[in-house]
Amino acid sequence: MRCEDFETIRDLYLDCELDHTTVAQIDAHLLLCATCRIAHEQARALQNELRSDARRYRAPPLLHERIRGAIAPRPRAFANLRHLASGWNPIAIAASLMLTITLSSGITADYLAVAKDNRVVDDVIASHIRSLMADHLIDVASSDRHTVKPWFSGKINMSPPAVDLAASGFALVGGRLDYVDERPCAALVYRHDKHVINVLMWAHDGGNSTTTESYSRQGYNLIHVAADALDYWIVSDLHQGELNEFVSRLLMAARDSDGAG
Amino acid sequence: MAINASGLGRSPEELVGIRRDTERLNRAIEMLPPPYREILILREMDDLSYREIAEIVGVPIGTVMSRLARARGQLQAALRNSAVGSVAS
Repeated sequence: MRCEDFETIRDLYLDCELDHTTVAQIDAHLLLCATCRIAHEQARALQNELRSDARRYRAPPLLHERIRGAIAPRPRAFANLRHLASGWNPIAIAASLMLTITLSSGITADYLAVAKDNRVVDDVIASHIRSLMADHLIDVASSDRHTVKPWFSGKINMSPPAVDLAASGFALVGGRLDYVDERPCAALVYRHDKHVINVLMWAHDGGNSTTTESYSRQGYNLIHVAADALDYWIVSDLHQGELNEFVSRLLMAARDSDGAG
Repeated sequence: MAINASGLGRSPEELVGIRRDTERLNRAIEMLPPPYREILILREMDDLSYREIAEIVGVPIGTVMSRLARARGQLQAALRNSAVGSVAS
């Protein structure tokens, strides 16, 4: 694991949101890399400080029960919930009101949002499978970013960073228009040996921060990255480790390409 | 007189210092934009997973992660600034 890989998933590691294999890889990396280890320790220290010194923000019992009730049908256990605040204060009440309003008005919406999240994953896999089955892998066949990138101009409301990564073993073979999550999107197609990698992307509506989440469905690995004002969905039958490497290289090259204009 | 258990064994100066740190942290939390603060609180105080937070707040998991990362980043920056300010003053 490289430092930039760890940087991408540092929060997920801190929050115990990663699978055991990735955790083991990070553990090994932290043993060797003092910079990443210090960054993680600082993040952990802040987390500990929040949990010990900012207790006033914990949900009061009634609200906590509502939270528990709202998400009880989901599979995750709540054995590690440990709160129930000892007192009330204006800020806690304000926070409670805010959350209560959200809960009372939007429980159905919450579940719809989760369903939507899953639908995007299904859409991305369907797009990938379609591209392999039908004769619609690429609309524009080229490894030249100066051919692929302008091809999307006027067809969608963003400019995909069509970077060729052939030197790293991930050759750009072209692009196409696709339709995912009820919106048109750009699809860049890469090959790594005999594997096809589809990179679906559209304009991100949540700012410029970088986040990553991984999925494995139907034998395919997916990585969702929100970075640099774009939502990237990368799907392939590549091994997760290789796909992680591809995503790291793609994002770095995209940033370099963006910086170079 | 009530004695706070957490204060046992500490000097008055130490207790004042702890109180200042807590106030500094709480002020930094209050300065966060509400959507970031909401997710930070659900994660750190209520120990909910990203998936659970996404369900409660009604946003995709990616949004939970990005807001959480921004909340932490802003919080660290605010705490650094307040630490510098307190040293300067």
